[in-house]
Amino acid sequence: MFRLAWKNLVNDRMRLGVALAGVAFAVFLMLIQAGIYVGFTRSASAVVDHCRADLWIVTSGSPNIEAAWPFSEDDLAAVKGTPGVASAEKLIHSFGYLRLPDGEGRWAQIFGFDPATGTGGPWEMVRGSVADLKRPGTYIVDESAAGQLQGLGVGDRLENIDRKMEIVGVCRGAKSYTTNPILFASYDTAQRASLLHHERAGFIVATLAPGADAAEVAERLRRFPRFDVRTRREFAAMTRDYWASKTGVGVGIGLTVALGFVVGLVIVGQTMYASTVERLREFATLKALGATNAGVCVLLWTQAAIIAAAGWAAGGAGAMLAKGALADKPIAVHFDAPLLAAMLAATLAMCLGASLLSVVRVLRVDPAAVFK
Amino acid sequence: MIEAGNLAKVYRGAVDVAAVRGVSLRVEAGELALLMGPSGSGKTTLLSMLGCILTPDEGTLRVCGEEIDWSGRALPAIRRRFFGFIYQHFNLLASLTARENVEVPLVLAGRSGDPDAALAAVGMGHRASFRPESLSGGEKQRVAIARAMAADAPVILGDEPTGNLDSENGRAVFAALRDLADRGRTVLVVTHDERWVRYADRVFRMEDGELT
Repeated sequence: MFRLAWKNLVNDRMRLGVALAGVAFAVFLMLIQAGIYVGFTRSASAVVDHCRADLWIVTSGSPNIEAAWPFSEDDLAAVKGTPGVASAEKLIHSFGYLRLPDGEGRWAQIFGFDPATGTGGPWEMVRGSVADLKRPGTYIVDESAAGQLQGLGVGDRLENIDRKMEIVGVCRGAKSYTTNPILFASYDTAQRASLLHHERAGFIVATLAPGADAAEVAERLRRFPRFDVRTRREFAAMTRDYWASKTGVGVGIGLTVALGFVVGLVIVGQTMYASTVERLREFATLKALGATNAGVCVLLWTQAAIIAAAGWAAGGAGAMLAKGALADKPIAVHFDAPLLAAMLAATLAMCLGASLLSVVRVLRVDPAAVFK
Repeated sequence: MIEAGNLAKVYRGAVDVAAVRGVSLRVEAGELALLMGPSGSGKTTLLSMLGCILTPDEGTLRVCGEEIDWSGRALPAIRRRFFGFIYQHFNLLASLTARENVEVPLVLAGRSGDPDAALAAVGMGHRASFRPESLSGGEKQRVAIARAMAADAPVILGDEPTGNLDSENGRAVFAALRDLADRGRTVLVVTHDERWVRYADRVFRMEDGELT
């Protein structure tokens, strides 16, 4: 049956080409959009994901890393004194308003951490070193922000409101998921640059003592008023969910993915149906020769699966090329194995769904039609 | 052997048409029988029922001694087991080569066989790798005969197999059918062409849905 399915397809190359182009376009559209979504949400939680701490302590009701209500730095001592906590550090996230060389103003996200430990800081350096941040007023920028910062690099100086700042390093992987570039600084520098957080910490991150149970330690920490405690994975997921659901990004991208699915469904469905109607006599012949209804359905499904696999490969290759072309743009596109597998499953579902009309038509074919 | 008892079929519609009215016949293994009659006499309807492609309203059918169970699901297996078909319009699968067309009944039956030997037996061994679009009408019909032979079906049913062929190719087809019968198969062919009577062991004539 596979050979017959294959031969039926390649026998009409023009029609196969149309079907494959339709599926490939649909896969390309769905994959790029899903890749942007995954890249966007991964970027949103990248700092959390790469932070070496086990627990994130924020004030109650803080939905994500950008919108944490600050709390007193004195709370750090309370966290450090909690049984099961090996170490704790304060982090800060704030916004600065940069004046670029040509006079343009631009908001930037600033993550402040302790350069001595590196916890909460950049995780891959391209130029410079985290230790360089110990000097006040120094910053590390992500390489993806070059365009947003008009090409500023190591050694360049600019202004953050009325404070001088100097770029001392370039990191990789902290791609901005908004229009604001991401900068890293020491906790003190970031706090001074902050418009909001004077003498207040944004977060406290804690590392568990060997053998300590994360759930138990989190429960102890929650006894402090205003503390909300999350594991790193939970807080990262909260951050991703916030951006996906509260901003409309998830719905917007979801609609585009659905549109791609429908486009593929219609093109493949129409092409397969036209091909099936042309071959009704052959299906009647197969039935007269003893093929069962299940057998002819398998034939159609095999054709659909071949189109799905080839279309997925072609669309996926196109999406990979597009991803490469977008690498230096301020947009994160991320494909991973689960996404590619999910897209293959969606493509298969799309093509099998598209074959339904053909299946219904073939099931109704009377084998006696061979004599007409 | 194929034996029909009182087979009847009425096509329901705005006006009911009794296509076959209580036909009984028997064709033995090793016989080539012709079913002849004018257009609309019910030949093809009767052939469809004898080949278990069309379910009769009444009557019984025994093939190789086995009573046919007309309850739907069993029919494809019965067709695979007992019948090889040859059609006026050949009904070869356009995307497959001659060899692959001959293999189809083998694949459906899950049996092994030698499609090349079947093609060679009808003088088509040299055209095995050609697709139907590259074959003449006579060649297509010989491939169809090879397909009917390949799965070693005991009963061969033909519907106007020479209808689209010239005399020379028609003779070749009937010579092949005669050969199949001589080798023990039951062969029943619908035709309206009296030239082929000389190849037959038995001739059934139909008119208005009945054997005359």
